[in-house]
Amino acid sequence: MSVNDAPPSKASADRSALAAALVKVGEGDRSAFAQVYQRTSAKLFGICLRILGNRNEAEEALQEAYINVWQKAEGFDAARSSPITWLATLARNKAIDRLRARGSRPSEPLGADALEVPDPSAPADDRLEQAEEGRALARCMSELEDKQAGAIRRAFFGGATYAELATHEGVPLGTMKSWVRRGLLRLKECLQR
Amino acid sequence: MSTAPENERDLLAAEHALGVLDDPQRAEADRLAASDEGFARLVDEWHARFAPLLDEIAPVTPDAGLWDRINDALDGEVGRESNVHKLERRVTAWRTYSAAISAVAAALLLAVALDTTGRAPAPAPEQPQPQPQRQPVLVANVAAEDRSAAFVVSYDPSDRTMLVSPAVASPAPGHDHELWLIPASGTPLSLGLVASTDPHRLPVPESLQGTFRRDATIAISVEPVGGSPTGQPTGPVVATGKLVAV
Repeated sequence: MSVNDAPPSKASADRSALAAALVKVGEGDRSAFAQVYQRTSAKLFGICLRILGNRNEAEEALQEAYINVWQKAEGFDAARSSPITWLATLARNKAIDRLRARGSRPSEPLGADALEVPDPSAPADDRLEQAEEGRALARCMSELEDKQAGAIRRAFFGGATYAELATHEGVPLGTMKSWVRRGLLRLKECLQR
Repeated sequence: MSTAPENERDLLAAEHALGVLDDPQRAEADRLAASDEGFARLVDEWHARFAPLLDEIAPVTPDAGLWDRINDALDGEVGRESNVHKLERRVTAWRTYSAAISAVAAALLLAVALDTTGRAPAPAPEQPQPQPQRQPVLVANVAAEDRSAAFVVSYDPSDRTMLVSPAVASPAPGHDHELWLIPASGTPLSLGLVASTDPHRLPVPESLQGTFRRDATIAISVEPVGGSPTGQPTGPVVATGKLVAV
């Protein structure tokens, strides 16, 4: 993440406040934990719901995720990760763990479905990354071949493994691996431009 | 596809962050990340690259009961906690919190005491006309059970202002903390917004002065910026406390 010399924006102030709260959680501070939950649970629940497509399971995943936040916050390093990315990644991993344990996953990446009624009361300013980074990723994803971008999205949101992606596309495993790996390299190269 | 070794390592990090590896490979990558900080850093970088994808997802508020379940689970964990070090830290956190509360309370009592003693002794009543009885200062320790929010609110009838002293307070960005006065029987009446994270005085509207009584409750709710649009609490009530006379 780039170091910004500009005066701190509201977003970066929010980010430092969240990072500070997370550090306190690492020291066993329950009130900081409550703040982190209040500030981020809607964001993280949206992620679990999108991946699992089921409210009950999404809540169970979210519960596991926050218990994990409590246990792992000591290892959070503000110099290395943005706090919301750290939290969201943890929630996504918990949701994907459940999806894998369930042994079935949505055959298509879920679109904006009926479960995801945007919540107007949820904090609107907790975007994980700056809009600029979002645009760069969208541009670079669009530069990939459709099959590459599709496989990457399916893996990211659906927890699909190489083998499952290959079966889905009806191509040999080696072919799928090389599509995705080439896609990842191009993505990185594009984001560095 | 042939790649240089450093690319190979970075690709493994990318695959791990993407979640495309099968279970044994994933476990292997986890072990590598745990033992090799350079590799863990590469994985973090990929998490950051993919993060904007998660911004496509709209936030959804989970069930209110979930927070209690998480808290219960953590209480269980604390009970099983054998790590003395971690426990000590929690004690430290608690002491810090208690100290903050005590400091606020002490400052408040001092302020009240100075206020009382600093006042010129009341001149002997010139006529036996019954003086309006001096009403006591009322104080409420407004705190959440989980200590996620704590305020001391006092009301001095002599100057019709309340002193709001936040000890632990940080509404989510885009939100304000709103103060409510809840009479022993009746609906919440807005006292306005918490205006600062430092102790500050707020005027009490004349219409509410008579309602500031012992046993009324002060509550704090989380509201959209600018306060509840309905005149009643719309967001979660994060802390409550009864008014007592001092």
